[in-house]
Amino acid sequence: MYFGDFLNNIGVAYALLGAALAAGFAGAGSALGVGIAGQAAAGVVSQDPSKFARVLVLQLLPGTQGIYGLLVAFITLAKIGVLSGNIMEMDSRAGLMILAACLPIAIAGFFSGKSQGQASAASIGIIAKRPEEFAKSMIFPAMVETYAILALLVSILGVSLIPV
Amino acid sequence: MSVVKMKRISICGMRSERKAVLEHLQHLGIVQVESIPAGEDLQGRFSYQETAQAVQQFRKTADRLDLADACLQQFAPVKTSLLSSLAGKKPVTREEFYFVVDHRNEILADVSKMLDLKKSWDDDVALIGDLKGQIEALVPWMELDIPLSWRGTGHVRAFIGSFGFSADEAKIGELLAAEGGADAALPDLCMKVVSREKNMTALTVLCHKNDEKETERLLRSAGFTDVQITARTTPKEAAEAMEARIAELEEEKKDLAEKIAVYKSMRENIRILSDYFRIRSQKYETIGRLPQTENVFVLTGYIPANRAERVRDFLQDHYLTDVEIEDLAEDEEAPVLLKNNPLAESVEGVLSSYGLPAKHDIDPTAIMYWFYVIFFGLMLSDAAYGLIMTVACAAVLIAFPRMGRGMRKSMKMFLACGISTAVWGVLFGGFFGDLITVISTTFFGHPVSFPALWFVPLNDPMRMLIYSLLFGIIHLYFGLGIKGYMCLRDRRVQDFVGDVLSWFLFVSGLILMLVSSDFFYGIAGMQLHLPPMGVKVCIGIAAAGAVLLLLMGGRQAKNPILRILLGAYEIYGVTSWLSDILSYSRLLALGLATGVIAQVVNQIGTMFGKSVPGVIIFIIVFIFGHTLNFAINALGAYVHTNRLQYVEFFGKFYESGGTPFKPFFPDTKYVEFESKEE
Repeated sequence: MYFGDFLNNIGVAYALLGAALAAGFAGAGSALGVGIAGQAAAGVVSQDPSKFARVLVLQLLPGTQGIYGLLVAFITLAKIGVLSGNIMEMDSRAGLMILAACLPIAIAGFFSGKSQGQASAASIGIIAKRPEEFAKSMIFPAMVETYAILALLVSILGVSLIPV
Repeated sequence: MSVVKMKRISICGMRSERKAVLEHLQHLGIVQVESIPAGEDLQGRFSYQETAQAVQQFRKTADRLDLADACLQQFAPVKTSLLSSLAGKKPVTREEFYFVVDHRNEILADVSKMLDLKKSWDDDVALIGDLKGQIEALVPWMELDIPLSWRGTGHVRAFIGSFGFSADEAKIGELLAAEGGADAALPDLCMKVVSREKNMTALTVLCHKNDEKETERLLRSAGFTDVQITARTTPKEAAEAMEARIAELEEEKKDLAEKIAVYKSMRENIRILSDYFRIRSQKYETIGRLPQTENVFVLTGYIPANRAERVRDFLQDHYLTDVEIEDLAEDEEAPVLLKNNPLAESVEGVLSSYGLPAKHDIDPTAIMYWFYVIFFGLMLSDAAYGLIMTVACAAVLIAFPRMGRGMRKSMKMFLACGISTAVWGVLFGGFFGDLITVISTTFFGHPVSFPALWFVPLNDPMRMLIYSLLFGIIHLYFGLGIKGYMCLRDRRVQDFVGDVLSWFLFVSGLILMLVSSDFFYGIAGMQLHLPPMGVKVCIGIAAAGAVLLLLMGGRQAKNPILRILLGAYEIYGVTSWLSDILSYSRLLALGLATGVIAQVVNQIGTMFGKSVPGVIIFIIVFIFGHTLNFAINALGAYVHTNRLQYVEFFGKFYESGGTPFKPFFPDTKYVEFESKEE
């Protein structure tokens, strides 16, 4: 095989790298976020176990970035045929385009997951002091998530609309 | 869709009938009693009754009865399921309630006896713990065959104690020699290590009486501490005696527990009585806030307007009272009680956790209800999940007709959200994701699909995005529309033109310009085809809006230049409209998330193909995966639906800041009266 052919055929590997980055980084961001929120949640429950359900909900909020990453990874895997077993031939241009489309959710997912975890931890502080303000406490972490959603949007549109 | 209109009720009655009148009001539970600020219009002729002590006393009794209830729950537990917290308070008739109240002295006497038994039981538990600790402390000494308190004979002095490190006799001998110094002669010692642990050496040291002082000095400086346990018998015997005592105490505990459990038939009475004292403490608290003279008392407060006349007539017919009903003053902030139709009232909790309507707000519950339900369904959008939610909520609602009001509303809300989820699931072709296709392909060999009634968002995300944003624009326009309505209602025409009409024109014009442009066609693959004239009209609409904003946006400023500059800044506010509209893209994102994760679950489940273990694995993966997916996405849908209401929708018109209506009513813990007669 000539080097040129090789370059022309590794596109699918780039696309797979994109899927890996999306699931990996967004998942890592969520893991950090859920971890940060979990520490705060455990502190509150050690004082007052009756607040378990409410702080658990708040702890889960930064978990969505991982799901968004998984979503993009899944769409990518479906697109390049990994899921159906018929991996398609793809030139490096198309592959790199898909890789690029995966980056928004990888980057925004990682950072927003972590930040949302910090916002969740602070909101768990609200539950510790004023448990009746549950609805409001959920809104602050949800604000952070908006940017993960916007990134997800770009990634989904990119991955599904890029012609291969 | 409204806030209940309030009136002021003022009651002046005989002091001799004060309790009866108050009890009646408390039973009705529709009057919020206001304190009259001291000194205002009372001219020193009124005083307040000191009730703090009585309130305290009643609360203490209620707490004591709660304690008794908890005690019964410990020794004669009644099985409670996870759902029993939904069951609500137990209904009682007034006859039952007052029958129990009439026997309160006997019940309280029994409760005292029971709590005494409980105290003995607690003492036993503490004692057993104590003894177990002592036995634990004896463990290093178990090998010793003399009592720990032994101090020697006529000629021999015994030291029994420990070092805080591990060492044998020789090592300790060296240590003592080192302490004594090189030239001093060490007294004759007989050392025996009883036991060694990582950080402790238990030992006995014997010496002649004459060497007692020197030995003690050496031992102390090497870190020796006397044993702290005193026992006249050998450690082993002491431990055995303690074990025997523990067994005795355990027996006694069992006996006490049985005696306490005998009182379990009193559980209902204890609860009723606890509520009785709770209600009474609330009544006395209110009494303490009523101004009174020797013969009369005065009460003033808020009452829903539609009930006011009847309450007045009833009070005047049955008691020697003078009742006045007045309209509220123009600027008075009345407490807020929401009243909505049976559907819309289910989202009142969502509204009140953001904040109740302030005086000039209108109650947006009824409009919010529809958006809430639709958006929730869009975000979860799976027919099967929706059905499960619907059935579960309906079952809970039917099984527990006496559920608390707030809980009941939430359940009704989730029931509606479930139906909406199912409907959207059918429209988008989701039933546990693509479960039907996957099962039919893997296990039956020919694919059957659950067809989307409308379209599959995953296959056409751009289309779904555009619809999401369209729903968002409708939602936001409703919000702006409510603001417009409020402006016109209050005859603030300038505000209507400057803050509402201008935005409607500007945003609508811009959107129309966008969707009819080629640029939009490039993104969305569709376009609104307008004749050239139409495009000009769009531009005209947007320009008209922009000019209105420019001229009216800074209308509070007198200086014309400043006014224009403020107006220009107001136009910049279009960015917030852009971000508000884009925010609705979460409808697409969360909807896709549900469907895709469900597909992933199905995919993993069918990895092992058509075989017996394959089916078993499929079932396990199916149950776990879909439970998790449902939980996470239902949570996401709930949070983000709330967010869309709170941030985007309320941001357009809602001020909030009303205080809730807190009527004087029997705030019970366990029971509630069966019917409310007037």
